Amino acid sequence: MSSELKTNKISPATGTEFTLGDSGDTFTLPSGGTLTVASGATIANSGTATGFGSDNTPVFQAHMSTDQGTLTDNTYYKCSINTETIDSDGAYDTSAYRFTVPSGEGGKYYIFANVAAGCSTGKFIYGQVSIYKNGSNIVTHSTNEGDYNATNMTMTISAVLDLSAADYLEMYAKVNTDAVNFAIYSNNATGGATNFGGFKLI
Amino acid sequence: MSISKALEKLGFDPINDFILQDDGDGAYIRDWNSASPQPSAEAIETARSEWQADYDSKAYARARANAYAPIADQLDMQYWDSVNGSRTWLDHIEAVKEAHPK
Repeated sequence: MSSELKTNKISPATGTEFTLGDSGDTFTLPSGGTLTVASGATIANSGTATGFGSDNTPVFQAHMSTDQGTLTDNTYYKCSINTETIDSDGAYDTSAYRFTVPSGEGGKYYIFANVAAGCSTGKFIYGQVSIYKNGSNIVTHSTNEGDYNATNMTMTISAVLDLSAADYLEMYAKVNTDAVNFAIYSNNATGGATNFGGFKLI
Repeated sequence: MSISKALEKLGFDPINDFILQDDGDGAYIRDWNSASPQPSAEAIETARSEWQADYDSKAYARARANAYAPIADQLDMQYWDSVNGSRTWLDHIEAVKEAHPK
């Protein structure tokens, strides 16, 4: 038995199939090595592959449990998103209403937010929902009501953001009305109408 | 107090000229982007009071607007009034005006 096999090519002795070792064996490609799969070749996986690509975590989603009412028009308020639906890494703070990128998890994130807003005493003119990064507005989406005289409106935003560990994200919203107040609604039985979420892409 | 309404009354545009924020202690001007100087607190308060007085003076009009039947229904009233010689539409309008006087 040889402890090291040196050869330039391994081929089946008969037929076209070749097997490495037996069940329970482990084969290691040492650090610095390269396994090249040539163009036109196929790797067919019927087992378990781990460590390839991203598992899309951290992932978080949270929503409001109660309405935020009597807010002054055309003024940004941080949305009190206080109830988690999912928080894979414990990175969402339900008291500060913010997601903080965990250590070692910097990268590109898909972030989304939905806001159900309304004006109890006036008409909705336009609204804006913004994502703040480390306290500064970095992306905003505006919803213009047009001429429909609506008193309620859902505003949405989504973005792919390049984030570093310890960066934190918060969600702000404002509404311009022909009166002086607006509200942000939790809005349904599960409180999911106004929500904030995201996950790591790569 | 609506700082926005005061600044709009002074001729500033909420999209381009200023951004307001409230962190829990009341609204403040977070960013002033206009080429014109930011108005003083006194000027803002004066404009806000004027806007509020104007807004309050039109409460009857807002109440009437909410009380009037939808336009399609009013058109239907007017059609049948013209066919039948009735005054359903006039009665409706008069009732709303009386319920919400100037």
